[in-house]
Amino acid sequence: MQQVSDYERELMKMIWGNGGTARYAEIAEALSAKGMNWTKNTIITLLARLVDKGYLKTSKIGRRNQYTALVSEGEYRITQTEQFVNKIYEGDVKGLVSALIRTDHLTEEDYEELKAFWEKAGEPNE
Amino acid sequence: MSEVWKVILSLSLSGTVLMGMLLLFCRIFQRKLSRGWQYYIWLAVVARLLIPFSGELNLTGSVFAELEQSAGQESLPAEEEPHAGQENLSAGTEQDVGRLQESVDISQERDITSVLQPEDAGRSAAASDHEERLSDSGKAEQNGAEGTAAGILWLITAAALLIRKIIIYQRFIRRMRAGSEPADLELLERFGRIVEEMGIKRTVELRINGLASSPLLAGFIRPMVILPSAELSEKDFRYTAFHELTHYRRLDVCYKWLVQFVICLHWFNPFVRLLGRETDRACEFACDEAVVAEFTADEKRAYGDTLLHAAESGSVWRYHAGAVTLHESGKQLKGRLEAVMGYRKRTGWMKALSMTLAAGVLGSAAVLGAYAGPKEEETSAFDCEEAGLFSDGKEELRFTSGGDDFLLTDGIHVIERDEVVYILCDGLTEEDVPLAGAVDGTMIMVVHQARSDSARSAAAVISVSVTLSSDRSRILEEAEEICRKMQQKGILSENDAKLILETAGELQKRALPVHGDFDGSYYQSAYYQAPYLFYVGYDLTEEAVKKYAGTEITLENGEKLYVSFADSARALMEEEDFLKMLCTQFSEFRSRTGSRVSGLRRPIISSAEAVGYDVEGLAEAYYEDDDIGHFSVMVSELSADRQKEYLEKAYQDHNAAVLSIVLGCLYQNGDLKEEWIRSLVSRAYEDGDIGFFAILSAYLNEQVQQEWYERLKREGEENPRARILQGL
Repeated sequence: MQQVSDYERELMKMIWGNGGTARYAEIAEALSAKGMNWTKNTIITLLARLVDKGYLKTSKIGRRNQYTALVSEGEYRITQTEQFVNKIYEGDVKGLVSALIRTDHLTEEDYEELKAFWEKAGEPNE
Repeated sequence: MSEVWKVILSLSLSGTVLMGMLLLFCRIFQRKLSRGWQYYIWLAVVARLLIPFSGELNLTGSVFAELEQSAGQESLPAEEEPHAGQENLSAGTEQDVGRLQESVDISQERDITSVLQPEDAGRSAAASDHEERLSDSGKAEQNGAEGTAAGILWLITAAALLIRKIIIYQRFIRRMRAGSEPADLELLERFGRIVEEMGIKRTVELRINGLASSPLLAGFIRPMVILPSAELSEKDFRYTAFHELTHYRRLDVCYKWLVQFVICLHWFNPFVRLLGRETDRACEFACDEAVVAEFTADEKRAYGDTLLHAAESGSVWRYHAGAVTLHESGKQLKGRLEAVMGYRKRTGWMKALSMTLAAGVLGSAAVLGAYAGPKEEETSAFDCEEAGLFSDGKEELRFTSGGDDFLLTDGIHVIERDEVVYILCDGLTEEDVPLAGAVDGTMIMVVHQARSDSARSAAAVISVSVTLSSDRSRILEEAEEICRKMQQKGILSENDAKLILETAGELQKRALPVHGDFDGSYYQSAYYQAPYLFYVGYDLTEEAVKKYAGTEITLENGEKLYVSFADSARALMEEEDFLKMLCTQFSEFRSRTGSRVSGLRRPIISSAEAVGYDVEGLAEAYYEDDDIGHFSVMVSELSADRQKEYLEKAYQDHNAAVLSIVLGCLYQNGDLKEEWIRSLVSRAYEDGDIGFFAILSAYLNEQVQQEWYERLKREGEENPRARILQGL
């Protein structure tokens, strides 16, 4: 999965938020609602790039273009996280977790929960 | 294939000449003509190089035709003296038979190349052999084969070059794309706004690729602008965008590809690269001109700066034949800077000049012309010989382009001189037969045959002649009636009648008197059906049918016929009575003509008038007005006595046309009394009126003619009366 730029991600969020599919008009509306008044040229160029990268596919409903996400938000997050962990922590998840604890991103409860979850995941037959 | 090759060659030639002219124009009028004009005018050259159009005057076409003919001329020994006629005949026969063999063998191959020649379509292979003179068909074969080989070679090379260009271009685009990064949002936004400003509907992508030597535009369906770097000042970016998007808007990419296509097609022509260079140059200049059109002086300067900055950052990637770059070369840059600063609005005067020049260029393009197929060959009596010898009786009507001469079936030659039509059989030529003379308003058709027992001389020629009115539009009908009567009287043989009718048919087809207000050649006849007098033309062309109003009538046999009406006759289209009359009339024609070629096909009423029922009054009126056409229609409705009166009147008024017409009428109806003719002939003789004598004596019966002949000989009259009689 290729990387997407911040703006492209915004667009994906819009589409994900719309149930995974949206027409150009809806996207443009949502964007301007958020205060991002991009030109049509820009929006379509970005959407085209997303299509090229495999995140979206276009289809025609009548004369309008419909953009459908090929990757769900969840999948995206996971892939991104994996890539991140591989890149920065060289695949060592524990390192990430300790970093999170050290920076107070995880509370005690969160840690216990996580530990339980992790152990469970390690024992498929339980 | 060799045809196509020849066309391409000729196009190349014309195109190169035109290119030269245009280069000259552009150099001379550089300042005066707008850059846009200088850019788009090259389309004329492109058109000239692609499309084989030509005007009335076709220089290249004639050049090619000349070359072809001279190629054929070389191997024609017996051709020098077309009038040598019969002597050559025997000498020529053996040679010709030999050549016939040759050409028959090669005729198979000929068929393939013949397919491309429209004039061959619909003819038998034997016929197409005859078309090239038999003695030069051998040579033509060689040329044909070479041409085909050349043509195929050309096509393959052109196709290969084109494909190669496309592949290289695709690769270039792909690499550009791959090596590029998408522009960031800020730049994209700025770009997007410019796109909107310029009114461009399609989405144009913006990418950055450090390897591009300069900003460029590529792609049709998914257009993109590629910049070498994102580090551009506000102004630079803006102007660059303007420039590239202007290229997009004007479809310059298409134009470039068109030129590349032409270059591929004309790969063998070294000058055609010039076209590519010039158009590329003109493209940039024209683009600058468009961008800078509304700029203030400051903005123009800023634009110039942009051009300079673009030039500074040169880099490795130079391929640009398919894409449009901001600067194609440093030298050009100087020119462009000058042009930008020097840009002025074109004055009316300049606009007029450019239009005139454009017209001049287009006109020259048309005049330069293109190869148009082998020239139609003019026949001579000698040809007639060959065709006569070798045609195996197949019906073959062939028309030449020169004058009014043509051939009938079996190689009989028909020539026309001064209203006399000579039908020359048995290889007779113009020199062999006595000249006849037709009087104003008449036309004579003479059939000449050789007496079997002697060499050429006037007395050795038997002839039969028929005098008709000179109104070609009705000649076939007239001839039919007259021939029928003459045959009944035994003064015209069936064979001769056949020849005369064939000829008459041809003549009528070629006659172009326009009655009413439409164009086109057609058969035309006038009819009177009280109270209407109308003209009907036949065989209207399909385009013409669309032009005129028309209506469908149902004939008595149930057949539906669509009849067109010229504008002047349109009023009558609405009249019930007229239409009813047409039904009756056409039904009668249909049953008469049956399946004959000249039958009812796309008739048009070219003019029609309700003239009334007073036939006699009308005849008189038309006579006074010297309206021969209408008169002839009316007079046939008169009684024999009245007709005789007109006979007398015509003689006294010295009106040969009317005389002929009336004689014809009387004759056809069998009302022509011997004593009338005899007395008139005597009078003509006494009055020394040769013309009338000629017309009248045709109607004498053979015995009387013989008497006259003797008498004239006795009275020592050498010519022309004796000659005339001889001709009868």
